[in-house]
Amino acid sequence: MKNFLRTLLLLTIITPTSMVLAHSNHGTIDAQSAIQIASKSIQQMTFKDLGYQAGKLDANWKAVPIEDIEVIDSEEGFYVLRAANKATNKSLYLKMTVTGQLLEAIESNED
Amino acid sequence: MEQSVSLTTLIKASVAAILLAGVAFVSFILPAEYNIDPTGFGQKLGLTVLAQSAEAAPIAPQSKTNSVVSKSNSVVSKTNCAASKTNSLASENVIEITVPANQGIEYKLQMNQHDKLTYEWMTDGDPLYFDLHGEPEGDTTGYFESYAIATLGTMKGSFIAPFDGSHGWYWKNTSAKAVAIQLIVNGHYQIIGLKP
Repeated sequence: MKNFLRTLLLLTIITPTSMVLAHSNHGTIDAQSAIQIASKSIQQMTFKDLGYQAGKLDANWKAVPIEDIEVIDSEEGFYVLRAANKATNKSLYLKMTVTGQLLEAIESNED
Repeated sequence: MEQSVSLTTLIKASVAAILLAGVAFVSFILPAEYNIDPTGFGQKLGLTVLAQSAEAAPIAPQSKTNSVVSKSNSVVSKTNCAASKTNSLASENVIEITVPANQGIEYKLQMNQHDKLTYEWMTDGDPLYFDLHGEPEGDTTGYFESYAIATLGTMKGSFIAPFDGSHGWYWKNTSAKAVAIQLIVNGHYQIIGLKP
């Protein structure tokens, strides 16, 4: 009986390890999710200066469709995205961590 | 005298744990995380729905129209995305609302029971008192259920409607100047807008 209880205890200790490992990749996002976050962040930046270099964006950025946002680089643990505002020929470059945290936003006149 | 676990028992326990972990991995984790269901057990338990919803969420369609949906005396509400009038597809809306000085406003969405809404809002300045709540459809007693009450300048979260009815926010501005709010909602709903 003692052996059985010890075995059961050991099973209880060991088994949850696989559950933890199964969730080890949570928190990282794919490129499509990065674009979604960028789209939402652009909307927010048209409402308020969130402290990035781009400051508060003009209202015309609200109309930029998600199709005009692309991931241009995804190396070194970051996503770099570019949003093209075709109405003004301006671009917005966004740097985001792989966990979806926006780090930088810079507006450029280069299309 | 202290007894120690024999090597044979340890090996047996390890093998049993590995087998159990393998069964759990194939039966529960693969269906729930990756929509891979070799046993068919995950579908019977509804676990594959979790993986499917996680895959579907990032590609929810976003149609944008730039239209004003409602106006009142000094409160203007704008949306730059079309509201979905059906409950078959998730939709996203960006709504801007102004809460006048020393007043409160209520902004509501019509939702069916078990529909999910994710939301994010922020003010352009001062924090606001708010009550995120729902009112059952057809109820005339004045009953409402609060999901969150606080005073904040920004909030992000989600909820699943516990009943059919109107769900949304009451914001109270106790300051002497108007406060604007940007609200981003994503999910299954129909916009009711500002309630008098």
